[in-house]
Amino acid sequence: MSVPHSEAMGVLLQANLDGELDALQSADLALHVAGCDECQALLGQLRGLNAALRTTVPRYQAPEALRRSLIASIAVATKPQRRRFRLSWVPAGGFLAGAAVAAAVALTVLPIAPPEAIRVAGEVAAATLRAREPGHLLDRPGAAPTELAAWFQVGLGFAPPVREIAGFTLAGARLDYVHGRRTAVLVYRRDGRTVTLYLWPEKHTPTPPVSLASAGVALSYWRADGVEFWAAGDTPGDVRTFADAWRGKA
Amino acid sequence: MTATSSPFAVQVLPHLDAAYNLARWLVRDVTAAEDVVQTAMLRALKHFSTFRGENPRAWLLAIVRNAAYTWMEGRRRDPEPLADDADELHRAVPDPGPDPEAGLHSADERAHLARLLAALPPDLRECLVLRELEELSYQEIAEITAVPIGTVMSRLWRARRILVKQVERSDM
Repeated sequence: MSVPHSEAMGVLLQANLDGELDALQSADLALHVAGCDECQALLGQLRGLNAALRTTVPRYQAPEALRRSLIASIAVATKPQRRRFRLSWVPAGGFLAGAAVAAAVALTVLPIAPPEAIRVAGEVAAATLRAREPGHLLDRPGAAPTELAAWFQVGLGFAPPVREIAGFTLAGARLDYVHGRRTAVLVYRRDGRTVTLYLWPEKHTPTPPVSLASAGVALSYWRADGVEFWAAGDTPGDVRTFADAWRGKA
Repeated sequence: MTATSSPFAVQVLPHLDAAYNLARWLVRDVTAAEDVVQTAMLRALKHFSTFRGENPRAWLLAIVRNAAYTWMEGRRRDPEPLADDADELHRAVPDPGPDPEAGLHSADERAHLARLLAALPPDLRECLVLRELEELSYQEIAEITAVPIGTVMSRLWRARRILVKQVERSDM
């Protein structure tokens, strides 16, 4: 870079490129630059540098392991908040029982669920709440299990197990996007309430159901036969009953 | 409330990549950058209840910057041999894609500018990283680096002048 005729002019040119000048200042500067070879050359150099920086210099992304470990730390730190929140709506008479339940929830649910599962839980809960909006519930209403499995095979390239569950009515199916992938979704009804089952292929070892909750949605997840299952419902009882029935443990 | 729906996760966690990028460019080491971000995030989590500002990103990046400078201070007093980040730069530099012009440049040449940036003094380097990679305003950079806007402008100018000169020199 040749020595600019004024460093102040360089700072001004740079501020203009950085979007820090107002329209009037910018117009004044353009007027000057139009008649100044030195400024034109300088402007070209600065533009070239900015373009090169943005295209060749890496913007590093946080490693996934770091993200997971931080989410786990946040989970621990937000635990007392859960307890206060729960206590706040427990009626005075149920105070002790409420406290016991809250403590049990805090002590048993969170440590069992690994950070990854806590993240997925948030996404499954969000997908479930989204689906309550009108017109978004089912892509493929009421059909036989074999037809739904075939429909998923076409849409996802994955034929998940589709079952009739005693005590629940299979209302239909849809596709959703959870945990960074397209997901098969089965919707069951029981007494006007809904249990939604999310399924995707997962190679991990089979695990029994783990119960948790996110954003007021009761959840349970388990893995079997190369599939990860997430059941989401209005009440923990529904979800547990459903999970047991699905796994043939009813 | 779950870990990902807490106010901290909603307001601060989305800036984790920005935090890591700043830490990485300041300490220039993979492991140290993770340590710095971890320390800074836990500090932020601890003090989040007292955060009243409107810009959680700037607030977090200021904490990350402090943690990074603390780490660098420690290294100056107790230097250990450090693996060069240059090899890592090689791999991290974006692929130029199918553009035949860009294809003529080797990965070496593309990593060149990144190395020049990494070699700038930290006060100039952080300004340019925050401006060009995080696209922050002068006001935000001033807030994060705790200096007046005029100082941000002159640091950016010095950083750019040095890089333009060095790139010109290596092109000859």
